[in-house]
Parts: sequence; structure tokens; C-alpha cells
Amino acid sequence: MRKKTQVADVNRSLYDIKDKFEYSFKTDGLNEDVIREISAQKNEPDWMLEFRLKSLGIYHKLDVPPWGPDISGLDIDNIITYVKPKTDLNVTWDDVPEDIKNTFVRLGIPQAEHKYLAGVGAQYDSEVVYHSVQENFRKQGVIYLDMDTAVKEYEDLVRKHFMKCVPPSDHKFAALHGAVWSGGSFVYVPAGIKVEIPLQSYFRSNAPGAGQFEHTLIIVEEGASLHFIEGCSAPKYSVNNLHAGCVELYVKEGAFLRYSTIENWSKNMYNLNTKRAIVEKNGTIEWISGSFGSKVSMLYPMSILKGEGARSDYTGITFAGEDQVLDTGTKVVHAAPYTTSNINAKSISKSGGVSVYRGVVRVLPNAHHVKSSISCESLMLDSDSRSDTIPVLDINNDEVDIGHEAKIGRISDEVIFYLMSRGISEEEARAMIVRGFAEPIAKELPLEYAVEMNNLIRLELEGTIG
Amino acid sequence: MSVVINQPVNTLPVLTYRWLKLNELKLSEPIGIPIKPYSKQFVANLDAVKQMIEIDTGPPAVEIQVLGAGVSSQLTRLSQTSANTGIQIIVPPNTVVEQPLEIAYRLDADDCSVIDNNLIIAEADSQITLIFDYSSAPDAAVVHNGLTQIVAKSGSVVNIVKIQRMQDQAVHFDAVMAEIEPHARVNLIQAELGGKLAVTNYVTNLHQAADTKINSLYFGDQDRVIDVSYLMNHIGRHSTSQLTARGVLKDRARKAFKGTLDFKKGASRAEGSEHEYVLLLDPTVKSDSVPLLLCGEEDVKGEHAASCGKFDPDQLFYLMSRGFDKIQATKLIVEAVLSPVIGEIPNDKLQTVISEVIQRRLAGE
Repeated sequence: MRKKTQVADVNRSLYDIKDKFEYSFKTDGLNEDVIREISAQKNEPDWMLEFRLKSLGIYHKLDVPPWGPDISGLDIDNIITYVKPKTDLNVTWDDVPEDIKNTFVRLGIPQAEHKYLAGVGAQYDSEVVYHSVQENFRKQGVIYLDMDTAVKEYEDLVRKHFMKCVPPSDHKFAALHGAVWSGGSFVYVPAGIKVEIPLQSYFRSNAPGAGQFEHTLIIVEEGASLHFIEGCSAPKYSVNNLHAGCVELYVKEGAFLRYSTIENWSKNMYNLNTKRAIVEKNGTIEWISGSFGSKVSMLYPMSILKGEGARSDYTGITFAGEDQVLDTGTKVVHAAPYTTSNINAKSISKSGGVSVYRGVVRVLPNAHHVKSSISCESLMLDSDSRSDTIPVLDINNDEVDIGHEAKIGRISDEVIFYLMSRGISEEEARAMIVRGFAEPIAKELPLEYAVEMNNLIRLELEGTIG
Repeated sequence: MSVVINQPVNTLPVLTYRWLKLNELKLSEPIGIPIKPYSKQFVANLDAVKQMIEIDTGPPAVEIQVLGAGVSSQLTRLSQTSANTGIQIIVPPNTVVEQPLEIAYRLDADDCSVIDNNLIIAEADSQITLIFDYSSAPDAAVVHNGLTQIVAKSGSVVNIVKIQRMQDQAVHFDAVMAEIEPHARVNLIQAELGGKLAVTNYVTNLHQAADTKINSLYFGDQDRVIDVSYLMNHIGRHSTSQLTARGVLKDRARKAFKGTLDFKKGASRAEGSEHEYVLLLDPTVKSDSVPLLLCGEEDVKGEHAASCGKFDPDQLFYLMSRGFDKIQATKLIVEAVLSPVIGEIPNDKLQTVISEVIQRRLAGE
């Protein structure tokens, strides 16, 4: 009998470990009292409470977008918006409670820290429980804190930037985030400092029905550089989960920031995340984005190229399997002359999965000498799946050089034939091609993440694809 | 009697971000369309072809099912219920009509609206070419709303040419819908050159080994608004489509190009391609492109390419160093950009007319 091969679904056994559900405080529903309670628990300054209440008002006014994936399965009023785990902020690994620690151990975080990373910000449910940053960076003035602490310790800096890049009025889930945000990372890199080793935040949510609303705020000052890695995974539960995080990046003059993400939420998660960068003169933002998990994703990292010579690079891969709708892409606004953007998006759909590239490149009237290059490639592994490409080019100046290319197709028979003529089996040839398709993303990631990504796209080399 | 058009037009097959305001085109003001008979003769060479085909001038006696909303359901309905002109043609099986049928509408103060409803049925292995030419008198506020439905039966070839060169006060809405049966072909050449508002919509269902080739040209200057939409539904195996769009934008012209390849499940071995190139001549233009690629079938090939930019300064410098002034040099470059589409028009006189319109506009006359 002929053996069948298939591209394996992501093996989730590692990620689907549930711990006993324990909490010291939780809230149901979404109203003003809940917001006041969250703020009081956090002992926040008054302006933040006011900000939360204002955002709640906006949330109730805005509608759910009429475009994009179906998110009607999401019942927001039944989502426990905030779950505080039974531990306070810890500075050393030894202080972290055993069950929480075990979860992290299984995800390989401490090893990662020792081997590769400058600091670890691990988020357990909604509260940051573990945080460290290497001593030499602290001496250089690099600040790496959980967001809740930053609000108190660096109040002025936070207040000046918090949800200024992504205002709560942006869309319904940004407003929700503004109202109930909790945890996340705050990074400040002073002028001229090059952070050589990637900073990593590995967080996960754990409580049934818990929303994850972490806020990431990164400021890279003039001439400084940083590589920040965000990774997420969550155990699988029957209750639908919502992730509505927010990432705000400020890249100052001549600064460089690479923001890498492997999103690997469990397949019941609605991942409605908002990420945005404002890039000043000659600054660079690089987005590396891998989307593998979640039931529904709507994720479009946005770059606002505000200063002359600013640049944005986006490299993204999306792998949609059974019962997944992954609607991802990027938005670029060229708001100044001599700005450049490069977009390289790839997607794979299999077993009824739906992957969508959705993006826009907008050139404002004053932005002359703009260059933009967009490439979207999709691979369908069977005909139960879907793959859609929905790009927009919106050009309001004539001194531009814009090119867009999109391709969809199957694995080419000619290539298979060629590889087979070199003595490679058909099955192996197909597997090689799928791996090769994802290669441009993998090579942009640190080794550990590349390995994780390759595991996610792990191919079983027996049988045929599709 | 007149009707008022107020519905948004050219809604995208799938919606995207609202802040771009590109999901549909909202009319800046309601447009009144007078309904009264069209008085002029409009088929130039009726005698030459009427022996070969069944032809009737006037709206179709039968209504066939529409393939979509067209420009808008309101405008499509208007052509179905209140057309003041149109032709219905049945080309018998195996009949090849060599000479293009020329249909020309001239709108002016007396004939201030053309609401045409055309039905073309090409029976098996037949062939026909139709050229529609819409023009208007200077300063006449006129409106054209058209619906052209095509049924290309197996092995037939239908060529449609649509030239719109109306004056600055004109409004143009035009929907073309083609059901292309196995091994049949429909070729569309469309040139949008005039009017203050020009909105066109082409939708086609491609069955097994059916093919459609589209050559689209637009020239926008002054304050013209152009919104063109193409939707290729690949339904059958081995169905193919190719779209080439060439455009030039000048002054404060605004253009939205919406091109969709939709590979339905089951359309294995289908291939579709779309290429758009826009030449931008002034910093005040607006060029929007939404090239959609929708796919529910594994075994297909689809590709899109869109690019836009100013012309190469070296090119201009070279031409000027050869003694051309800037306007002449610009004319040459524009001609080079548009000629691949203009050259496809099967009528020398119209090719010349189009070139002249463009040259005049570039000179600012």
C-alpha cells in the first residue's frame, strides 16, 4: 500500500498543558465598576483610570468591523477580562511559584535566557510574574520593565506615549484594550545605545476564558538600536479566548528596531492585536511576523513613516490549518519624502484553513521620492482551503516608484520533476519545496525561534501533500 | 420623467479597511437621469450585417439573469426597466461576422441621456465584433448608463470594444456581463477617456476552458474621477484570463482600479493574470489600485502585478536632447505607454481619434 504523507498539523502537546486554575481575583463582564476595580488593584495614577474609563465609553460606541473574518463567535461580555495570578512580581527565578515555573520550564524559557537572551519578560495570564534584564544594559540606561511598573516608575515617559500611536478610537478592540489593558513590556533604549542581544518577552495566557490585553511600549531613541522578540502560546480550552494586545513602537531619528513575533495561540483564540510603529527621520522598523496559531487572527502591523528617509521592512509568514482563519498583512503610510517600504508576505493554507493577506501602502500628497515594493505569495496545499490576497495601493504623489506583485499557485510539477530526476522521492521533493517557501522568514529569526518555527511547520515525510 | 441615482457604485467583491474609503465609490451628489427616447440613428453599418445575424435595435424582449450588481443594482435595474435604446443580437451557429458592428451614441442637449440595454448571444462556434463609441457635445450635461450582457456559447468568440470619449460635463456608467461557456472567448477593449465621472464594471463567469482577455486604458486629466472594476470568476477547469491595464493620470484626476481574480473550487488548471501600469504626470493626482486574488482551488496559477510612477527623467532628458520640447517628449512617452492597448482596437479611424484626444489633452487644449 502506498504510504500517505501529510504536512503535519502543529504539534500542540507542548503548548496545551493546563495548569490548575487558581486565581486570587477575577472579574466578570465589562462595565465601569470592573474598570475601577482593575485600576484600584493596580494602584494606578488617576490619569490612567480616566484613560481606561474614556476608552470604555469609546468601546461601547464603536461597531465591529464589517470587513474581514467572522468574529461573531466571540461573546465579549462573558470573557473574564482580567485574571490576576497568585503571585506578586518576582525578580529572581527562584521566587516564581512551582506550577507557574513548570509551565515556563516546559516552554524552555530559562534556557533561552541563559543562551541567547538579554532579558526575559514572561507574562502569566495578565500579570507579569517574572522579569530580568542583564546588568550591563541596566548600566547603559536601557529600561526593560513590565508595563504596570513602568506606569508608576516612569510615569511621565509612559503618559507621553501611551496609546498616542494607537488611539483607543482606532477600532473597537483598541478601545477595549485601552479600557482593560494589563501587563506587557516597556522598553526604553537611550540615544546611541546599541542593544546587541535580542530582548525577549515570552508570555502566555492560562485561565479559561481569560482575555489577554498586554501592552507593549518601546521607545528607541536617536541612533539607538534594538531587536525585540515577542512570542506567545496558550493552552487550549473550550471557552473562546480573546487576545487584544497593543504594541506601540517609537523609532526616533536614525534609530533601528526589529520587532519579531511568532504567534502561536491555541486554536480557540481570537487574536485581534494592534501593532504600530512611528518612524522618524532615517529610522528603520523591521517587522518579522509568523502567524501559526489562533482560531481567528486579524493582525496588520502598521508603519507610519513620519520622517524623511524612514524605512519599513515587513517579512511575514502565515500558516492556516484546519478551522483557522488567519487574516494578516501590513499597513504602511508614507508620510514624508524619501521614505521606503518593502513587504514580503507568504502564506500557506491546508486542511480547510483560510489565510488572507490584507494590506495597504498609502503615499500621502507631500511624500515624494517614495519607493515601495510589495510581494505576496500564497501556496495552497489542497482545495478545501482558501487563500485570498487583498492589497490596496493608494498613491497621492507622482514622484513614486511603486511595484506590487502577487502570486498564487500550487507546487510546480516541473520543480517536482526536476528534483525527482536528481534522485529525490516525490514526497521529499514536495516537503523540501514547502520548507523552502518558509525559508526567507526562518533565516530572519534567531536560531531558537527558527527551530520553533520549523517545528511548527514540521513535515511528516511519509506520503503526499494534498 | 427622470430618476435620481444615489447608491454607491463599484462595491468591492470583498471589503477591506474602511478608512481608505475604497470599498465603494460614494457619489459626491445625487445624479438625475432624464428618461426620454433617444432620437438618432446609432448603428452605422446595419445593412452590412443584418443578412447574417438576427438583430433588433431596441432593448431586449427577454430578460436574462444578471451575473452581479453591475455598477450598482440601482443602475443595472434602470437599464433593465427604463432603457431608451440598445441592441439585441443573436449570431447563428458557425456564423463568422468579419466586419465589426459599429454602434455610436452622440449625447447632446436634445439627447441628454442614453440608457442602453444590450444583449448579445453568440451561438456555438460563431464570431462577432462590436464597437461601442460614446461621445458628447461640448458643455452638455449628459448621462450614459449602459448594461451589456453577453452569452458566448461553446466555441464562440465575442469581441467588445467600448470607447468613452465624452466631454467634461458627462457622466458615464457602464456594466458588461459575460457568461462564457466551454471553449468560448470574450475579448474586451475598454478606453475611458472623458466625462467628469466614469464608472465601469465588467464581470464574467468563465466555464471550462473559457477565456477572456481584457485590454483596459484610461486617461484622466483635470478633475476627472475614474473607477473601473473587473471581476473574473474562474468556475471551469482550464479557464484562462488576462488583463492588461494602462493608464495615465494628470492634473487632479482620481482613479480607482479594482481587479479581481476569483478562482472557485473546482477550477483546476485555471490560469489568470492581471497587469496594471499607471503613469503619473502631476503630484496632485490620486491613483488607487485594489488587485484582489481570491482562491478556493489548489491547482491554479494566478498572478497580479501593479506598478506606478513618474516617467524616467533620463528618458525625458534624452528626448529633449534630440530637439523635442517637453510637451512633445511627454506626448511621445504617453503614446508609448498606451499604444499596446490602443493598437488592439480593430478600427483605424478610432485609433486615430483616441490618439488625437490624448494629444490634445496633454497639450492642455
